[in-house]
Amino acid sequence: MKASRYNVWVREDGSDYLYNGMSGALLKLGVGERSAVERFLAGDAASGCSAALLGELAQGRMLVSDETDELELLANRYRLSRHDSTHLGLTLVTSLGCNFDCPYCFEDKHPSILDEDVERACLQLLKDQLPGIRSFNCSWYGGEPLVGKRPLLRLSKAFIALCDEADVAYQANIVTNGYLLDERTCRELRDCRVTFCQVTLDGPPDVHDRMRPLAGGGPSFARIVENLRHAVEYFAVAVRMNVDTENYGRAEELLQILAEQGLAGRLEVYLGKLVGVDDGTAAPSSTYQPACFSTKEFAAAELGFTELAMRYGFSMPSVPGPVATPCTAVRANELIVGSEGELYKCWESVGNPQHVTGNIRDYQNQNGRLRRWLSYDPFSNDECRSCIALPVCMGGCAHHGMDVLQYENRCDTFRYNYAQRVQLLARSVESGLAPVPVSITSNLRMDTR
Amino acid sequence: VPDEDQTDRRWIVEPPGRGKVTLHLSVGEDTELTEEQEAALAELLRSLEAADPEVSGFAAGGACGGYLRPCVMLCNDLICPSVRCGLVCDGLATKSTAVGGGQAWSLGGSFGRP
Repeated sequence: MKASRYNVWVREDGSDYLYNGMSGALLKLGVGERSAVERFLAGDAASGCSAALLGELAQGRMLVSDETDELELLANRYRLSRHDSTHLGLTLVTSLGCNFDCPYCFEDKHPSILDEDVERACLQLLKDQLPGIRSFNCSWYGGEPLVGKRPLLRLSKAFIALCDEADVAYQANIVTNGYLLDERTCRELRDCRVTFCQVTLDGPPDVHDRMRPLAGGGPSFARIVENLRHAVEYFAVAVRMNVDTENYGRAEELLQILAEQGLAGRLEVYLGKLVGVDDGTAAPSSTYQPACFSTKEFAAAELGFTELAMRYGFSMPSVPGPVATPCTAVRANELIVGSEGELYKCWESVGNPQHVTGNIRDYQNQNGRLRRWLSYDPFSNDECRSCIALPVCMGGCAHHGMDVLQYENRCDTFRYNYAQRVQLLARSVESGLAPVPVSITSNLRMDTR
Repeated sequence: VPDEDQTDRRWIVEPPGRGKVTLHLSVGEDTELTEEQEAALAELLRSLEAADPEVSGFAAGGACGGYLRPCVMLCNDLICPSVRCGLVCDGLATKSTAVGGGQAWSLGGSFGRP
């Protein structure tokens, strides 16, 4: 037996903890058990390791056989997930137009609502897929998806009817700016099996309203917060705060406001990292020059924010679980459908004609750009192969990984703050802040800005 | 190292249980499986392992004390580690069952979509 290369040991309050990225599991060991394990691995026949201890370490993939090639196992996970045809994932842009005018938006937007012809093509795609799939996940996206609420509701009802009839599991989520998320809309979304909603708030009102103004000008903060108060009654909600070095210092004020609104313990707040992007389009981000964090700096900021959010009741300590592929972009049976039926692979490509891979009306004949995404391979990258975060990020952001200018932004923060993340959870357990056992966290976050 | 019944070891985040298969083989003292029984068990384990490369066998139960370490190591040197370990590895299993009255093999679960 040998130790997994993805083990992370930490010590907290006299106890040893062992996390493993292949399983996502965290084990608190008894007194003297770490040294017994180390003696066992050194070949000491009288190590004192009990059968039960070794069994649990193996179950948690913390001990593996001498022959086990963990990289090969991960590569196999990646291959299986990339070509998994039992699951269908669609991201649908019901409206490329948006009621906001954020200066850092990476989309070159124009008013465009998903029309009935595109709806029919989406339904045809689902019908084609139904015989071979067991689950279908739909992400409602924009622009602002609620500007296109009518096609969203129509399609949802049709998707649900088709999936129920075929005994295919259906669920949906939505990424919205939250401005149109009134209670009636929340009810409608819940009835359309939307189980998770992401809303963005970039700081207290003066900061948020500058970074996320209404199109044509005007504040949006107060109405979004008002909407959050009922949204939490209908589905899981995560608030994303996009940060650079300039607004990060205002994060606590946002948490205070949300707490005053009675939202503590009812939603999660997490940080998104702003990145300056110029994809050669007229998107606002091409001229936005934020004071961006490097990924390493952001990893530290994220850790500090998590501790802060925990104090206010907006975050629970967690360690990441394993993923098989990083995102929709590299999975063959997942597509992003633009409002006019154009297809993309990456959320950050929406609205960029240079990244269109085909059209929903003829989705089986996509162009050569598709190959670029489906051949993205973190296992050919030496940095990824030697990185402790590989099981939980699987190469990170493919879009950035394939872009020389954005390459450093591809990584998951776990690469830089893994020990502190494990330590934070261990500390929370010791102080009684974290429930035990903790389940492996589902990813209630959307990878977009 | 504390006794097993005194340790405060516990999962903070439990490993995934999906696809987990655990075989508990309990036999009485001095019981020996026939070649036919061994072959059938070996075939069962082989088929589970062949179905998914993430499935791996390891000895996980039984109070085999000092015998577990070489047992586990031998396990993984063999093509069908778990069964052959428990059943034929140098008589270790016979000794361990004599001590603990049973031996169990756990197979790490196969990994599904996140």
